Amino acid sequence: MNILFIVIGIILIIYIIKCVIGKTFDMYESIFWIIAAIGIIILALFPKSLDALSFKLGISYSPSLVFLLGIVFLLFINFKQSRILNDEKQKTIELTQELALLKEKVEEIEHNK
Amino acid sequence: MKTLIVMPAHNEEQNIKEVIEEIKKDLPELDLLIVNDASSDNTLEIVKQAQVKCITLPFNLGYALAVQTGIKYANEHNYDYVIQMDADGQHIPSEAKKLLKYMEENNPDIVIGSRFLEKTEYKHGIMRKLGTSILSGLIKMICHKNIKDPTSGFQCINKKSIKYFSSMGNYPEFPDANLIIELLLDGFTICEIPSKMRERKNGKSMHRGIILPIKYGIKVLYNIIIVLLRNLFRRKNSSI
Repeated sequence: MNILFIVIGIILIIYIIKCVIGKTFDMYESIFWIIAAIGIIILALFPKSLDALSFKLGISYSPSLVFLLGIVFLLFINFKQSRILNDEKQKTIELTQELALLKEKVEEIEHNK
Repeated sequence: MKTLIVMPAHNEEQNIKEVIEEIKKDLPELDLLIVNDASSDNTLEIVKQAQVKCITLPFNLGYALAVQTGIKYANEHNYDYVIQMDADGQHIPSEAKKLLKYMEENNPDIVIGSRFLEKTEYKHGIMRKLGTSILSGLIKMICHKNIKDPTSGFQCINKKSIKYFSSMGNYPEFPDANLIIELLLDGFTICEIPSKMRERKNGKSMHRGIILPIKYGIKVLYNIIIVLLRNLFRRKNSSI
């Protein structure tokens, strides 16, 4: 059992929940990080499970599995963020166009007064 | 028929005055809309002095989205046709009459003014020629349609296309061969007629240098692949 990683996991969970309560972090977005923190705690509580899982997956050096899981998790989060970014970009474009069209309309109304 | 000329302009202070004057002289019956794409020079002041309709984007969205903004304006104001023209003086206003005439007589969804249907004085670099041939070949291969100038921004579009473009999300950064393929696969009719064009008078082209054309090529080819996959999945879904 690795006390340090259990403490890190618990601090992470407390910090994420604090951010969600303080409305500085989206509730649904936080779920993935909570899952990651729980994963850290589970691995710290049952370190042998990592060896068993690595053996089953054919990975001879079990710490490699930790890195692999970490990279996959970060890639997943990164891809999700990219999609959100694209969504926000589309909304910004539409709002920009809408704003420009409305501005022209207002100017025309003022001009015709 | 109500027709609007949509002209995106980004830092075109050196060209735009002359272009507007030429349009006013040659196409007085048509409405002109300049979409000022957040120019940092005197483009806006020149357009205002010329007393032309103008939409100013608060920040630079790029050529394609500036065109789409103009098309959205046309859709809101119930225009029948939109003619897209560049503000760099490449497109000749009197040639726009030919596009419009062809559109009114034959009623396709899009008419493209082509530089390559007839031999003109327009100078096209070797790399550009090669790129255009590849894109043209792809259209021929996928849609069995001859489009000699798929990168021409000199186009006339009808109401159906105006509605389609204005409601289009994720509007492509380069609406060239990729968009032509998408539209042809969607059943739009696209025609090409010969059109004279000039070299850009002043300023920089958006396809200058080596890196920009490579980026352009990659983006357009990737877009074509996505269009084909989208079409494939749509056909599969509709056949289920």
